[in-house]
Amino acid sequence: MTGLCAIFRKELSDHFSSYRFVILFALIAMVSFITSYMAGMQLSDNLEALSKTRFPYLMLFSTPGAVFSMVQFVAFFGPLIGLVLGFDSINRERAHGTLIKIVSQPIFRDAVINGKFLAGVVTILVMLVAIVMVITGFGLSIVGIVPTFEEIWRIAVYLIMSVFYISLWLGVSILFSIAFRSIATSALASVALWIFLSFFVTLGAEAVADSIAPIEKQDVQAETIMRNVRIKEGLSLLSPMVLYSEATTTIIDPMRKTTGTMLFMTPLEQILSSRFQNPLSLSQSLIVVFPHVTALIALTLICFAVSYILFMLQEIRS
Amino acid sequence: MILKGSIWRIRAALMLFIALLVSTAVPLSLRADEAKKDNSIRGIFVAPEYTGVVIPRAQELSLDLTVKNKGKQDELVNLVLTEVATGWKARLKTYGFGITGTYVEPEKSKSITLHLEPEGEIAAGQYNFAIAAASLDGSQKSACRITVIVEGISEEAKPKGVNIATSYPVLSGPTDGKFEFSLEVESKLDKEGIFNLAAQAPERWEINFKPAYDEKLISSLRLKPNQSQTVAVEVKPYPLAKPGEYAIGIKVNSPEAKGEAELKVILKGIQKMDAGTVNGLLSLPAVRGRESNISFYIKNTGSSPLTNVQLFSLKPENWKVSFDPERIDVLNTEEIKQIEVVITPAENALVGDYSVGLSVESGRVSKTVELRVTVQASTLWGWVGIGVILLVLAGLVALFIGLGRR
Amino acid sequence: MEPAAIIETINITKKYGSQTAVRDLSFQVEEGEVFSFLGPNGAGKTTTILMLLGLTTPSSGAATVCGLDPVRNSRDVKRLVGYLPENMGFYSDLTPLQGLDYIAELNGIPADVRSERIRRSLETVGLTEQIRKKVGAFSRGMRQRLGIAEVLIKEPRLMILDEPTLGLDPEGAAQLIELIRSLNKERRMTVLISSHDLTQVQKISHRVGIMLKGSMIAAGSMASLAKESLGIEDGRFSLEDIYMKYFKEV
Repeated sequence: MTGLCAIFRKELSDHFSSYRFVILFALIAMVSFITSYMAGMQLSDNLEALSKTRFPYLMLFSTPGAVFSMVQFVAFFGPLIGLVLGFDSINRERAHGTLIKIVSQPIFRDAVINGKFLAGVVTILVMLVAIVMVITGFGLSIVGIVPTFEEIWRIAVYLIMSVFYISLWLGVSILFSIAFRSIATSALASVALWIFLSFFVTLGAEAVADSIAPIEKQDVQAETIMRNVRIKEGLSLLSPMVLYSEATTTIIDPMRKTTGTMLFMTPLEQILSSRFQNPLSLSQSLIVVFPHVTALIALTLICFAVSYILFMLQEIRS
Repeated sequence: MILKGSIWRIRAALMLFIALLVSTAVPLSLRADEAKKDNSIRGIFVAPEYTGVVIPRAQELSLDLTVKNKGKQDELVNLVLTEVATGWKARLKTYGFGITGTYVEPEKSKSITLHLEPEGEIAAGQYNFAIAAASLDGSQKSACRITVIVEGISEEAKPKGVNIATSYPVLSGPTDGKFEFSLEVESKLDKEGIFNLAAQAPERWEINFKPAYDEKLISSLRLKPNQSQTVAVEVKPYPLAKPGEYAIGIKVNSPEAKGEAELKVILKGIQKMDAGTVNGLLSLPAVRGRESNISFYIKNTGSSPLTNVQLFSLKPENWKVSFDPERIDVLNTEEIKQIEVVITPAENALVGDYSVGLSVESGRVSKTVELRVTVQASTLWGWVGIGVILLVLAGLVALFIGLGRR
Repeated sequence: MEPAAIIETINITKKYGSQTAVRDLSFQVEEGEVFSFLGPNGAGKTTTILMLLGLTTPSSGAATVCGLDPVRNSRDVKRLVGYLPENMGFYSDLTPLQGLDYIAELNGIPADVRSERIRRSLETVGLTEQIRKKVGAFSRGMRQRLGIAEVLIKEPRLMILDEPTLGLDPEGAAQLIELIRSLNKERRMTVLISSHDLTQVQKISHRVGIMLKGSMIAAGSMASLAKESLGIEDGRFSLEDIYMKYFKEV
């Protein structure tokens, strides 16, 4: 345990003193603040209309400020933080000859990877909590939005999901830093995977859906559209970003009753379901997104497990 | 009649006035010449304006008589009623007082009035009156007769002062209903009159009078002679009144006339029911694809039995709502029946609140209860998810144990 | 207790796929001696050392280090054995003192005695003066001494030095060898050296083992080896001659 603690502490201080992390942190924090600030200003402009919507605090995070909302921004660029924290964690030490020195100390070998992963996770947690706290702060002071308990719980769930989401990318980059000896290769590989999964999977899903269930212009039936949408949404879930976005928007917006973007409703069903405009309880929101959350957490843990196995079975000698 | 009399009197006065004017306007010299010419000519004449008068029934009469001086000398004329029919009282009069004689200038005439007044019941028939006139010296005489014929239309045939007619005097319906009768009130009076409207109804019943096609409530009616007007009578029975026949008396009164009509209301009892959930809650949690039960009751709160009570639901298309029993043939007064309702949300229903309407119908009576069905996702997948995560964690722990102690 | 062998291996073998890095290696190192591993690159010296530390698992055979099994008790072995790897690196973003502190922390040395330990080990390697400098400004000799200081922090019973004089100038190498000798003499520290630098090794080694292609082709005191291979008995031999002789034989 001493070894794990020592490595964890060193890695943590390394992260917070490394320029690339601090710069990226500053960038993400700034964009988040600006986005939420603009969202807050919009909210305060039409606060009368807001009296009906019961969750103004959450809207700080979910309302698009300029182009995107804070939640969307984290979904897009949060992974970069994970990548930056991990892409050279193992292979840099290996290249510098410090890894062999560390593992020849009286520690278990897995303390190295555990400590590094844990330090990354905590760094991510600290970063996200700081951003959320600052946004809450100016939500209170500038716009005058006081979060309710329900909202605080939802934000806590959002934070946990975000930590897992970014940690997934931390795990990916650590995996690559174990698999590739070269720092440049691991950096490029993780960025490439990030771009592929975040941006190309959705495009690919669209293409596949259009080829399997094409929507003809002459004969637009609800069923064909729904088939197309279902294929598209299903394939898009291969992207952690889609997984995360769908889960978080549902948690942040209690009025959202489904993670999907499109759903088929019969006329009566539509009327009768919109009769009571009540928000979902947190537990119901959680159950709705639970498959997503499970997938996200499992992916993160599996990614870490793979890195772990690889690291433990790999020869220390370079 | 009084009026007529006064008109005649005025006419008589006018004549006298004109006669005076003429007599004063005529130059004295001329009169003197004429008097010189034919001073000895004398003659008086009395005559009624109408020698026979026919009246429908006995009443006061004033008839004008003219006393004329045909001579060239002033005449003082004595007037005597020589014949007065029995049962009548006759008087000669002018202006306000009775007279027995009069002065008539030469070649002038004077109007006096014969006033007749029946004394007590006067049967139909012919009644004669005679008047004799004589100059002071008695040399000149005249007489005339007046016949009054009373047609004698009988008292019984005399029309009532007000007439009430209705086409539908009996109405029947549910106790909680409103009954509206339409009455036609016709005034038979020969002058305008104000009629009060009143109704006699069982205790605690509410009766209102309204003009036809108007919402005002009225309690009296002004009618011109022979005018008729439709009046609506709105009857609201006492809600707890037992089914049966009830009479309502309507009275239309004025000082001169009275009218009555009887209306009848047949109450068939109240068709009324109450329905709701047994536990009083109007919200119901449900899991999609799974049955949820709620107990529903139907109570006949009316005073007549309900027949063929059917149950309907307003629900999203792909939901299932079933009732057990599906219908009730007869539900007696004060009877309560419990219905088990099973609501099954669709497999793909969204979580959140849906509105489901349950309605009970029996004839015209219906009751709808709206339920808020909160669809919840099955926690099964939540547990599966937790299981997956636990499995992964277990794998990780196994890894730690297997590889960690290096 | 007999004068126990601090290191004992019995037929340890390490295979990487079809290649055999170490084959049926059996040797002993006794407490208090300086044992040198000699052999060309790829002879299996470093692999053997890693197996002794438990950093890699032998394919077969067994080893005992300080009476412990390095496969099962790697951490305890590493607590007793100080290892200076070949081409050891330092964290460029830490000062030498911070680096030493980190190593001390990894060894579980309590915070209150850490600075004293660090000071003593720096004194031993003679780096007290230069410690304010950055590691980047250190000469190779100073780096190696700093490495030994890191090893000394845990106060080991056995020191394993992998090519300690590699890349050092003769003066630096001589200083380092002198340091090792003094550690052996003054603290009775057992030292296992793997080296090519035969002249320097000859100065301090009590016994040597010559490895070639994963096997130890000769082991013993230098005098006995000289006698065995060269027939020299008066001690006027050079280790290089012995080494070359054995090579030619194989």
